[in-house]
Amino acid sequence: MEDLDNLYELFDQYFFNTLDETEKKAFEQRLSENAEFKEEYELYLDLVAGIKLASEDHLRQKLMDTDNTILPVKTSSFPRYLYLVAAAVAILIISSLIVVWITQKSSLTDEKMITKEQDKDAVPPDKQEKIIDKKEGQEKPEQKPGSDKTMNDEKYLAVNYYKEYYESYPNNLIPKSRGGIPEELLPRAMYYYDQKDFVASSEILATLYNSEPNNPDYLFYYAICQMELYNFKDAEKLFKKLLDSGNTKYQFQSMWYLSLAYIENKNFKAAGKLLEELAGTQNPYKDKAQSLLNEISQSNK
Amino acid sequence: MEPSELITEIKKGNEQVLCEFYAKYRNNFLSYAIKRYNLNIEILKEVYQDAILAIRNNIVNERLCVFTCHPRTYLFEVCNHLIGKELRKNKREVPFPEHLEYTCADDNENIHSKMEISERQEIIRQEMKKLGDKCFQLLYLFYFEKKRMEEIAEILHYRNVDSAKSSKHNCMQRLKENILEKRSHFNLQ
Repeated sequence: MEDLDNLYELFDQYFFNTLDETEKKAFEQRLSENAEFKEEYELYLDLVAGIKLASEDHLRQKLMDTDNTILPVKTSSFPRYLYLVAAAVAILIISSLIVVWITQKSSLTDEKMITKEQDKDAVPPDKQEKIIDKKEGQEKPEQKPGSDKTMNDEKYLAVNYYKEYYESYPNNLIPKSRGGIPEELLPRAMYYYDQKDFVASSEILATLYNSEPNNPDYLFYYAICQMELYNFKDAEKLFKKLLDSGNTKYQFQSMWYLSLAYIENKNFKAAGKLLEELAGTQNPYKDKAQSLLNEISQSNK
Repeated sequence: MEPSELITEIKKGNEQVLCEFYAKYRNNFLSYAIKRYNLNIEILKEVYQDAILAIRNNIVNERLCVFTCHPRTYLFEVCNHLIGKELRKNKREVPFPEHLEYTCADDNENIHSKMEISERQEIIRQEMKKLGDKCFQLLYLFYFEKKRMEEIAEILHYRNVDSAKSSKHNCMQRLKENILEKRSHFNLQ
């Protein structure tokens, strides 16, 4: 057989499909007739496959190195059903404690209050000083050195508010499809929306919105999809656009979801303003807005 | 960055752009997928990396020349395909969008970057890593980045194309010899 340099150059040409038709036919005929040639080509194919695998490993390592530069996603390894069990147990314990507290409330005497006072006296003098200072509002709560309110704290709070207050908005546009995937764009988008496939839904809603930018339905559900996909910057822009349009169909909904998007984007000031507006008027989000406002102001204390 | 620019840069082998694309949507994807599929985060991280590599391979192999949707949407769709494969592998009974069911067939090579790996390929994979930097880079650029020998000669500062070609053949020869040596050692076929 010819020397390996020429042979591997020929293999490369066949592999990368740069041979002309005649050369290609000749190559394939040689493959079918010459066992040694075929064996050599099979080894070549394995070499190329192995090179690609090692190359992918190299690139994958680079991606993994990138992971270290990204903030971790807050998750829990706790299975979902255990949350339900934990919640049930917590409710049980809390209810029992309330019952015990109510029944024993009457037996709470001044004696206990006196004991508390004595306990307070037992605090070492240096700590007592701090307690007194705190009472007088001269000492701030203890914080980690060098941090006033760190980015991570804010992110953590934002994630918590979101988890606590975010609820998927129902599909009030198109009744749930019982058959297959609808042909028309809007029913199709809402079909995916019901399936919680917000990537597909968002894609179609974006098309609809671009073709009819003044349609509040398209804009609102497109914005909700962005919330579901955690694209809070885009969601913020879209809800603002809807509110600026002057169309009131989704006014309160947009204000509520926009405030959540603001919180996720760590713009607590803008969120507070919107929440105050919601809490101050009659609308379905009044109570939630007040409760969220209270929580934010509590955490700021 | 414009989607067309993203494709051009990835095709050029710009690893920094690929890593930025990877980083940009990683947490978005993980948050979305954790909420939706209830899969272990380590599996989802691997799926996300596989999806990025699959997109990169499709671009380099010219199967993906233009994004017909937002790159993020394309990326998430590829992730959904791979998750579908993962769920099927584990026979998990979880709700899965109908329209994705059709596209999760195992023969969809355009999407799945992972393939069956033979024992010989696995040995080559390990031997390739022992070849030394210069050989690794040369073979990486030629077979993985699909760069022409003229470009490779320039990137790796060879005197000329012939010199780069000769080095490539030497590297292939060394790799082949190492494999045959291993094969005779382990009596592998």
